[in-house]
Amino acid sequence: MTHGEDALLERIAFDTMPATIYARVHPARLQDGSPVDPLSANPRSTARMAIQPALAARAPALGMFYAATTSAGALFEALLRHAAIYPKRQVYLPRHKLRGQCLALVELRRPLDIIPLGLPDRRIVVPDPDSWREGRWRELISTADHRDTHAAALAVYEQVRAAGFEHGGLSWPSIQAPHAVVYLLYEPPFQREDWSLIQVIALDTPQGEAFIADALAHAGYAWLADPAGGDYEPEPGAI
Amino acid sequence: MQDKLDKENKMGHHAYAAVYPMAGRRRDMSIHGHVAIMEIPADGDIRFGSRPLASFIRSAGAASPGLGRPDSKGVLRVFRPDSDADWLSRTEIAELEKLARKLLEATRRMDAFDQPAAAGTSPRLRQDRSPQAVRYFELFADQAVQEVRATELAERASRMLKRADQAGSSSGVLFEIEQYDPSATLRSLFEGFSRSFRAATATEAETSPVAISAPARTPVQASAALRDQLLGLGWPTSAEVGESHGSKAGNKGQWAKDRRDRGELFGVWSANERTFRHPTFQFDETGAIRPFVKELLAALSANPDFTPEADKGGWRRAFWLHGPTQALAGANGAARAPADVFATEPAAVIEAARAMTGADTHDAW
Repeated sequence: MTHGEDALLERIAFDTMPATIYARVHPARLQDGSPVDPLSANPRSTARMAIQPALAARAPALGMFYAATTSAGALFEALLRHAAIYPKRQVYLPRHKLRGQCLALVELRRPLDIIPLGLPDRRIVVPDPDSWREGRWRELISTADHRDTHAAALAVYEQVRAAGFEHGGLSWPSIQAPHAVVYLLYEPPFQREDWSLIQVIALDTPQGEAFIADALAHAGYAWLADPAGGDYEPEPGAI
Repeated sequence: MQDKLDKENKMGHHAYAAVYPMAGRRRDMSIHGHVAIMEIPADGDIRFGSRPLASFIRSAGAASPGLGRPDSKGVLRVFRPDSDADWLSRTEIAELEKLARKLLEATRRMDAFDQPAAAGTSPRLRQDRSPQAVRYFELFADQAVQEVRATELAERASRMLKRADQAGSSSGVLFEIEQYDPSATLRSLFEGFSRSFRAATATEAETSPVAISAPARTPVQASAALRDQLLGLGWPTSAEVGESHGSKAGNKGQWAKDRRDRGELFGVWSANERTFRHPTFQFDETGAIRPFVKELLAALSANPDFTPEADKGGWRRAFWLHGPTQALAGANGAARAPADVFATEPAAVIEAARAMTGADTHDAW
């Protein structure tokens, strides 16, 4: 199937999201104080390739479920996007960004069909490496400004649906976390019953910080401790 | 020899688990040259090596000599001309990766497995009912796969080497599949090959090569080292700032303290020296405090971590101000540090400080 030049997918084809364990970041509670179900999709997401009426005109009200194949991948996609990255891959994040945040390990029970946006699998939807689509997809899966991706996400959604397919979600490689793949599932057709919860780690605790440090170390990054207290602070009245 | 294979640094821990033992040249060879090999097991570590062309003379069912049978259902070996018998250069490895990617993409695009070719279409890889242990193929023009008889392999390899000598020639991809599990289908083998290839190269396709190594320091040690590194930049002390601004006070440091207390100047505590030091991005060439420093500090103080009370020593703010962040990515997409940008784009830095404070993390999941 071919499409016009405005179609971001040269062909509509699907890859498999394997049934295995993934990591996802979510808040412990919503702003109204109600607890968050770690296996729920987020209809308020404004993250990469999110689709909801507040982000693009004509957009349907969908829920977004982000999950990554590694904890570092999930952390970078959701929390560390604007972290300071020093030479030697040292990561500093102001700690208020961790407040109320959790990382859940979740297991997918059956394979799902998604559209792959990372190489080499992107070739099944963009066979021509010289196509304008190639550069656009590189931007979309790497930009730190997620606002730039929302119109494109809606366009892909409409393209897939117009061709008579269900749009289950997308995948792309994490730019910062080596070998991690990030998945975005849309609800519908996302079904909570396809998933089981293994563990939830509160990130704003000493144990959570240790978990982050370990997860980042596996990806080759060093987590910087909060530079406060102790000899980081002066005595009163110091000049 | 700077361009030679660096097994440890190129692709991280997923690849280069081992390399083939290199064979020596044979003086009595009737055909000359060497062939570089990329060996991709189904779900395993990729390996590289080189073989003399003469070793491609073989009978049916004989595989290319390698390290022995890996723990896998089968392996894919991709071949290309090798310029040097003793080393594989980075360029040759990159070329092998390119060929392997081309092959995996083409076979996937063709859906080339487990079904007979329809009349009038390109030849396909087919799974027969009694798979041979070793089979040889050539991919032409990214769209046709032809099986090669074992007795023709050396001739095809020789032709490949000759084509490589002809500038501008477009050669196919010669490859070999050795199957260890007779029940495995070609489709399942290629899925395994793709997974192995993806694991070794997926992020490289989008970013620069990555070497993974565990950090040498704990988070606490790393932060202390970064603080010391920043202090080593020689930022002026309170007394030095006072002197440069012509302070007549008896305590030369008082001028800087007063500005810090009024939110007009930013300093960090140096415990060893028992004084504050002041990052130089705040000062212009004459030593005067730049415009908009006060606005920047006000924007930062809206962050609960960055108020003067929560950050008495200034180091939380210093770590944010001096760390490259994508929030201030330049035109080329590279992350930039607020301190490096402030002199020329103070508004952008102030906006990034506000955005970092105001962003609703509940929307980012």
